Amino acid sequence: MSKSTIPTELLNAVFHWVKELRDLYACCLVSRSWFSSAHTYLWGNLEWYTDEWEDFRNVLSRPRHLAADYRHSIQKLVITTSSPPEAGEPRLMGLRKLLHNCPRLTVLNLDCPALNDDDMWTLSTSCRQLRALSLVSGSHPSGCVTDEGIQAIASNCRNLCHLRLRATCAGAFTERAFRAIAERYTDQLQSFALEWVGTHSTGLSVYGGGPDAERRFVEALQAVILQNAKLHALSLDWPIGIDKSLDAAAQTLRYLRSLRIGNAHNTLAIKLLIAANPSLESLSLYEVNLAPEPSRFFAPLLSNLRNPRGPTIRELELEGIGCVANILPFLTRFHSLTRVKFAQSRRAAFLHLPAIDDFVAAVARSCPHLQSIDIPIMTDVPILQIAHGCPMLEELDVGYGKEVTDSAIIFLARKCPKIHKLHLGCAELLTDTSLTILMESLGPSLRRLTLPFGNKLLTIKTLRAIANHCKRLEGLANLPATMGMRPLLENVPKLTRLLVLGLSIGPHVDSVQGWRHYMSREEQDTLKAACKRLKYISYGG
Amino acid sequence: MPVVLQASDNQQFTIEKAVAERSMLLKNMLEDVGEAGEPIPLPNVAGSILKKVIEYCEHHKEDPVPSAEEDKDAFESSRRKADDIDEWDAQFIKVGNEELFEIILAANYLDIKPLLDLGCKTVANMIKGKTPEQIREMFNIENDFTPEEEDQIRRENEWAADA
Repeated sequence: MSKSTIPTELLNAVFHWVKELRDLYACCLVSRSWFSSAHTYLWGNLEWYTDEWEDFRNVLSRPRHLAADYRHSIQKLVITTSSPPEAGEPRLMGLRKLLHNCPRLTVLNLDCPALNDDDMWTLSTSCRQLRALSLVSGSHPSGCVTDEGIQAIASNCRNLCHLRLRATCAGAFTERAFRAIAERYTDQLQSFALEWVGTHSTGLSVYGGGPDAERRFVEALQAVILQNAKLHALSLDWPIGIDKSLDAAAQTLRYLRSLRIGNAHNTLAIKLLIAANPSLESLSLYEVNLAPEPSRFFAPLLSNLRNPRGPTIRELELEGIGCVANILPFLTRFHSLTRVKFAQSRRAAFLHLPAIDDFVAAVARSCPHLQSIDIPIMTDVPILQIAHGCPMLEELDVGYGKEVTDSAIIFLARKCPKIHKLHLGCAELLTDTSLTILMESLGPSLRRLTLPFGNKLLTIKTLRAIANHCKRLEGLANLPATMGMRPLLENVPKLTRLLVLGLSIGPHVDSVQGWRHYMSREEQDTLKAACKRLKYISYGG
Repeated sequence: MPVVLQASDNQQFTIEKAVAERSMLLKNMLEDVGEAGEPIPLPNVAGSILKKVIEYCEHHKEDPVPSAEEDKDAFESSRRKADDIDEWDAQFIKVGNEELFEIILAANYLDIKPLLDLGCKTVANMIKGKTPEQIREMFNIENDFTPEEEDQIRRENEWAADA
C-alpha cells in the first residue's frame, strides 16, 4: 500500500481545482492542515441566495468563536435574489458590517438593492483593493445608491476594472457619477455596464432633468467609453442617452468580447460596433430593430482575418427581435455556440413559425457545445435533435412545446444527463410516464423545473417522482394545484433545497371553481413549516 | 545545442533546449548562464521522476506559451474545470499516488505550470465525491482533530454539504 501523502505545501494548488462545495467541505473535515488550507477555498468564492443571508450572518457574527475567521478568506461575494419580484426587495441586515471585515474581497456582485451611499463610503474605504463591483440601486433608502456612492467608489477604489451599475429608477445617476468614473479610470476599465432594471410602468418618467441635463449625462457617459478604449465587456441598457453613447463606442472600442444592448434605436452604430469587434464571444440585443436585413449584423462575426479558426461567438441572446426565421439559419455557422436564447418581445407576442422547429434542429446538429437553449419550439423534431447532438446541455426552455410527446422527453432525459434547468412550456401531451423517467435520470442534477402549463394528464405520480429523485431542486413551478393539500404535505418536504413553489390552477378550471384549489394562509404556513427551506408559494393561471 | 540534466541519483539526461525550456526554472537558468554545456544538477528530482517529466515536456514542446490568467468577465462564474484533461495527458498521469505526488513536486520545483496543473487536477478529481474518511484512507492522512473541533467545523461549514 502506498504510504505517500499530499505534501502540505501543495494542498493549495490542489484545492484550487476542487470546484464542488461538497468536496471542499469534505476536505475541511480531513485533518487540521487540510482544514487550514481548504476553508480558504470554501469561503473564498461565495455565491449566496438572499434567503440564506441570515444563516451566514449568524455564523459570521461571532468571529472570535469560529474555528477560523472565515471573513478573511472571502475574495468573491455574490448575493443573488431568491425571492420572486412580488415579495419586494429583500433586506440584508448587517451586510455593511461584514464587508467592513473582508480585507481580501476583490469581487462584489449584489443582485438586489442592499447598499446605499453611506455603505459605499464604508465599503470603498475598507475594500480599496476591490477589482469588480456590481450593484443595484433601488428606491428604498437602505438600498439606494446615487452619484455620491459612485463618487466614493471612484475616489477610493483605485484598482477597479469591472463596474456594473443597475438601477430600478432611471433618475438614480446623473452625469456626476459618470464624470467621476471617467476622471478616475482611464484605460483601466475592462467591463462597464449601465443597466436599467425597473419596470416599464415606473422608471421612464422619473428622469426629469430636462434636455440640458440629458446632454451632460450623455457627454459623461461617452467620456467613460472614450477614456477606456480597451473595454472588453460593454453593456448599455438605459432609458436615455444610449444612442449617442453607442456612436462613441463604435468609434472607439475594438477589443470587445461581450456586448449587451437594450433601449437603443441607433441600429447603425450597433452594426458598426459589431463589425469593429468581430471577435465577440457574447452578444445580447434587446428590442433592437434588425430589419430589413438581419444578416448584415451577423455577417462580420462569421468571417474575419482576426478569427482564423472561425466564428468566436459563444453566447447569443436576442429578445424582442423580429425576423427570427432570418437569423436562425446563420446560427448553424456559429459552431462554437454554447448558449442561445431567443425570447419574446417585452411588447409583442411571439409568433411561432413551423420553420423555427427545423432551424432549431439544424442548430442543434451544427453546434455540439450547446449548454443552454431557449427558443420557443413546438414539436418533437428539435428535441430529438438536441438530445442527439448536444450532450453538454444544461438548460432547456422549450417555450411552447404543445406537440412534444413522451418519447422525445424520454430520449432527452437519457441523452442529456447534465440538464439542471428545464422548462417544459405548455407541453400538454406529456404524461407521468415520461416525467417519471425524466426525474429518475435528471433528478440528481435538476435545480429548476417548470412543469408543462395547462397539462391535464399529470398526476401525483409525477410529484412523487420529483420528491424522490430531485434532491437539489430549488424551484418547482406549475405543479397542478388540483392535487390537493395532502399529497403536497406528503411529498414536497422531501425537497430539502426547495425555496420557491409555484402552483398552477390551470386554464381548464374556471375562475369560480378555481378558488377551491387555493391554499389558505394557514395551509401555506403548515406546508412551509414542514419544509426545510421553502419560503415562497405562488399561484399562476 | 542540447542541455544535460543531472538527477539527484546522478543519472544524466541529454535533451533539446526547446524541451528544457518548458521549465521556467531551466529557461531562466539557461538565459543567465548561457550555454556552458555543463550538466545542470537537479538535487530535488530523482532520475525516474525526471524521466517522466522529460517525457511530458517532449510531448508538449510545441505548445504555445500559456498566457497569464486573465479575469475575463468578473461577473460570470469561471469556467475553469478539473475534468478537461486531454487524452494523452490523462494516460500520462495514470500512475500510483507516490509517483503522482513526486511528479507534482518536481513540476512545482521546475516551474512547469501545465504539468503542475495536470497533477493537481488529477488529485482534485480523486477527491470528487469522497467522504472525509475516504480521503484520509486514500492519502494516508491521520485525523488529528479533537471531536469538539471536528464538530465545530462541521457546524460552521455544513451549508456547503448539500449546496
